[in-house]
Amino acid sequence: MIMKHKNSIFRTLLCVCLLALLTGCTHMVPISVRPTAMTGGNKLPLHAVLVLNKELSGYKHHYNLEGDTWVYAFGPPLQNYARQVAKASFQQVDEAPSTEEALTNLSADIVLIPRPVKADQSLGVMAWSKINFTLVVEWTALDRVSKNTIWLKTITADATETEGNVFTGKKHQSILMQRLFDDLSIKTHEAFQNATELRGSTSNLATPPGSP
Amino acid sequence: MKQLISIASIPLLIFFNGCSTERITDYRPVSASVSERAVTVSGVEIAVDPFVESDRTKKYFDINAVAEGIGIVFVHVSNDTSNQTFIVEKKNFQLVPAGSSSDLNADTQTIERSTSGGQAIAITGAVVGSFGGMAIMCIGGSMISHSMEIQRNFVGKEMPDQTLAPGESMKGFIYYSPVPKNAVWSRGAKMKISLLETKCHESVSTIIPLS
Repeated sequence: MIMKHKNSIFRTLLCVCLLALLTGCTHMVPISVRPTAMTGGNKLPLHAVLVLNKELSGYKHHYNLEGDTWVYAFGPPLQNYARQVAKASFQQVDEAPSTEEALTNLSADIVLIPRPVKADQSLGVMAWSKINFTLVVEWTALDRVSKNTIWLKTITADATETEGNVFTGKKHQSILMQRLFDDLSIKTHEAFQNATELRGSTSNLATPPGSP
Repeated sequence: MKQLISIASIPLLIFFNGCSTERITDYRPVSASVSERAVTVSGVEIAVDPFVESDRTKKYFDINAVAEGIGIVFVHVSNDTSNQTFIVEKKNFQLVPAGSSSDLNADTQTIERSTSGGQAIAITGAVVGSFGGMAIMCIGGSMISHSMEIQRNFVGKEMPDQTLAPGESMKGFIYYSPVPKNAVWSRGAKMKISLLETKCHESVSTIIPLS
């Protein structure tokens, strides 16, 4: 009787272990980045409304490897990056939770919509291997009056960092993310500075109805 | 003993060889390739270069894309106008395979790009998947990391969607799947391209034969 009971416990434990092996785990990867210093260039003389919608704030990158899933919650750092770059690039920046709401801001010249497109990474198997990370973000600028797209730019950010071991992995992951957002911020800021369609004046934009 | 060390060192060498996650070579053409085709329409020069040689796809994408049925096209666009800006989007570069004639609806013959953001990932997924399975059985993580880099490289080299102001130019790769495997998929095929002008919102269209 005792033997039978032991056998059933053993079988149950074996099943639990097998199930645990088969189902894999989900790991949340925390992303904490400091604001990037964006020096140089002048602020564009435009009043922009920045759209921080759910697509941006809820963006997650899922990375699957041998049954395990790593989830990178990019939403909060992407929102902060969008705010910082917009404020460093335009004279006045308001925020809106949707494009529709942004278009109702009657004093604005343009509506800015950042959209996460994709993320991908490659990594090695040893502590000294490199992790390569790519993050793609698309920016659209709409003329607030005509609602037409006046500027579109896809920013591809890249970063590389040593993987690290079980003790140093977190530190290296943090450096990787900081490099990624630094690259993204600097490239985006440069893109705004070089945007002929936005630069200089509002002459490219549609004249509001009733204006002289 | 020496024999034992030699035998033991072989799998170790194989294992460590794949651990470095080396980046795949960037594509920086210094002159037009022989397969490049270019047209100028409304002051915009568009050049397309289909990668139909296995060697080139292996060098810049580290896979034999021709054998895998992945069509890779390098695109270069220059806006030579003085006052017009165009929206250049990958979805407006459609590959029309050989055999589509006027009595056939070109759209139904068109190999569509995936509109999802992870297009490059979707295309390489199957290829990388087979790499992955093999890797687990054979030499562990080294091949997995290599296949991951192949996938990331596809994403990194993809042509960005953007507006092109006067005097500006842009370049990048567009991927199509499936195309006929182990064949010159570009033979007789055409590229249907349309660009949208931002001020008047008028579309500029052209067709470039790929062979």
